[in-house]
Amino acid sequence: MHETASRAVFEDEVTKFRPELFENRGWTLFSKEYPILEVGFSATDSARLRVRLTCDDWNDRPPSIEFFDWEGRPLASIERDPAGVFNNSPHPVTGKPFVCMKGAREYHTHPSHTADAWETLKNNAKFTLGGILTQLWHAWKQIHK
Amino acid sequence: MDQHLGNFVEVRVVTTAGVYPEAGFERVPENQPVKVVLKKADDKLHITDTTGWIAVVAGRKIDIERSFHENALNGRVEIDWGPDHGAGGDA
Repeated sequence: MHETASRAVFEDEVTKFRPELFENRGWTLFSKEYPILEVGFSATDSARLRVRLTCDDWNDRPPSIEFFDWEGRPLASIERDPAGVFNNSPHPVTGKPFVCMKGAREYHTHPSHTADAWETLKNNAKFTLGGILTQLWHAWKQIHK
Repeated sequence: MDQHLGNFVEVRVVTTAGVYPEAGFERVPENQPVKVVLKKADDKLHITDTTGWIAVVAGRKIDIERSFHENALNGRVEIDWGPDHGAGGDA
């Protein structure tokens, strides 16, 4: 997708994120400047996590998702969740922990899942940028209530 | 959820596609199924498929087929509406 078109889709989605959303979920917005959407999750047990969605070529390609601590340092490992969304093994392409869930670029480029085509998902409300973030947040909330 | 509104609740639905209603809260009967206001939010916010979505109020997942009263909700209610966590891929 041409960058101008990708940017337009990205901005159309992220401008719908209202202050009530961040307040209600305990989210912190670090960036919504194309192509980076970066949000911090906070839990009542004081746990925090930053997730960065790199959305170049959105939405012809799913976002690449990385993990950071609150100060912005990349995490070498992540906590596993019961559903197995957060995967600590090195991804064959990035060598980093990754999101093993439909909607993450690392899932769709993993040799185990290349048959799960992003094309069939990208127009579903579960797989907007907000939908993907929400799924990640709910997975993380399984660890940190 | 600490106000006394008789047989009504005041509801706001919060999603990543926007907030319903646009401003303030919507007053609805407490015996109305939660899914009715969620459907109105879906229509207004152009959300077309909510298969696998969950409604959460103050950290508690609620049953959208049941009424606000049956979900023990009263006063002002903020519903967080969005897809549940994805399934891990066993990679």
